[in-house]
Amino acid sequence: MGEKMLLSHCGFVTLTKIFIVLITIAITSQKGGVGKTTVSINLAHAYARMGKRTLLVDADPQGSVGLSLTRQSRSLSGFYDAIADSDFPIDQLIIPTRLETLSIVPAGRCSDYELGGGAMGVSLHRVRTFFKMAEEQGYDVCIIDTAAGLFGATADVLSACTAVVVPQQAEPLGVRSVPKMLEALTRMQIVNPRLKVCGVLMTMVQNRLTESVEAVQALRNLLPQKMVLRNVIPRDDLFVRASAKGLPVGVMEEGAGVLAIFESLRAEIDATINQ
Amino acid sequence: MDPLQPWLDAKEVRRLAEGLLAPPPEVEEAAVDAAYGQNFEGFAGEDDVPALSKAGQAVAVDLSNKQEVPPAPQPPHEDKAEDNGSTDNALSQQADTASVATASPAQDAEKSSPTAEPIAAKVDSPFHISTNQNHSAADVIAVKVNGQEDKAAVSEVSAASSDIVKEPSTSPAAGDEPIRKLDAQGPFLSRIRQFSQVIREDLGAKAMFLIDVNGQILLDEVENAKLIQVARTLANASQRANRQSAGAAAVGNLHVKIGASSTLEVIPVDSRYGLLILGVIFPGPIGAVRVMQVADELYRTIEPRR
Repeated sequence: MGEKMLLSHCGFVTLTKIFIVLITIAITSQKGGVGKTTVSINLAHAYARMGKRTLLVDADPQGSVGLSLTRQSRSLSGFYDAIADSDFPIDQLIIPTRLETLSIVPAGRCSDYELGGGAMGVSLHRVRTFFKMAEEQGYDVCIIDTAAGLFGATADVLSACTAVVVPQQAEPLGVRSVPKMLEALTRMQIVNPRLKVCGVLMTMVQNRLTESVEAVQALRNLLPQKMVLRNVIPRDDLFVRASAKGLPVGVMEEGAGVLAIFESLRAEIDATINQ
Repeated sequence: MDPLQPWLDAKEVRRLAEGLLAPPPEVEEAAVDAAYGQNFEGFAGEDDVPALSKAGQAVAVDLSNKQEVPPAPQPPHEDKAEDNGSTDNALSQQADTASVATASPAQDAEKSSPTAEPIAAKVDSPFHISTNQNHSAADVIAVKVNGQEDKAAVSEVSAASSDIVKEPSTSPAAGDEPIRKLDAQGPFLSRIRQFSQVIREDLGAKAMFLIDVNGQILLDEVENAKLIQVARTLANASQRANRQSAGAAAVGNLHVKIGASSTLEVIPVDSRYGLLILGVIFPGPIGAVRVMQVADELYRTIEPRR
């Protein structure tokens, strides 16, 4: 995925350096409570499991990733500290996990609101600098869990990202907000024409609830086929139990089924980005 | 019952979704970095906007011409134009606002120095402004929109402009083929929307906004206050520069690079409603000839049919 070679030109071509181009994937939605953090954690876990050096960044000022995975997240420096101070060394923000290829950057102590959040473009350069530093650290993939709404720091993240996945709760009210989200993403693509929209990811799907199934089907009928991801995330008690233990679902004993879903989702997203 | 269809415009949603899935326009890497470089930190923060706004207004004022400026009628605003279905009705409803608006340049003029230079001359701008579009092409538009069809003059200036133009156009329809003639009818806003559709389809425009000289928004598909502010400031500065050089009211056109493959074309058009400022986001600069065609088509769209 995206390896680039630097070649010198001293009479003959010599391979001097190989570095990995960082793929940055934002997990974003207009609406809150659609499962962005759950998707971010488990997707990052899926990437890390296949050997990709993965950085899970908590760009939600609420610090949901940190609250899900670490007990001391409130006292740790993180993403918003780097945004507030571009000289903040990224290696001091990174928290390793027991899975060697997965690391986390918590939200940090300086929240979006302290940065005068709301105005788009304020932190764009620093977000880009942050991604550049992550690339220099040798990461292959960066999954960014954002706050709900496509403005402020989230808009800056999208302006600098490679791709975006839009989780959407499989229920009628949530799905009706899709036009607003599409409008906002259209504006984002004006700023960042290379932003790849991987598609809408249906979450909390309840196969035994007619309205939930119908909402998924209606969205598939409404949007182009490529705009709605094939994989869906079911509503499962396992997510709550995993959250209680501070773990991705995939590492739970009964988590094989969910793990397979996120592996498949990871492959689908990769295929979309590499198209 | 379908849980979605009654709640949203399926056609519009599908159009938005297909637009998002479209491959990004090809832009050369050099072109991406030419305007800003790696260290560009973005536009000024919110705190700087009022200062920019004041400066822009001061630039628009020309003391020598202030007596000659006729009290321009206000263009119809979005909701009122829709309600009445007639630009004339909307105009009459805006009469009070118009009188206030025409008074404000004179008030501003008292605060500004008559010898003040345009703001662009004083401030190092991060924007890339095409020199060829600042004067000559603008004069052509002035001839066209004022209804003085001088084809010889148009072709002469167009030829001169094309000699000066060095930038390759990255817009999909950058050829010399004229854009579709729009026979727009109906309320003002409806006609402008048809115009928007034509420039999307024929010229690859991404989005547009139309404001009047006072910054009142008539149509906004961009929803970015800063871009509107930039367009208004540049249009006002351009208008002043043209007045100084030509000695008569004239409009100009400018473009500003706003993203890796997004350029904001600012096209002021003199109309019966006063100066209207069209901002259109294209993948790249569209060149003087195209700008002239867009201005011409906008003028035709704005003018109600007899």
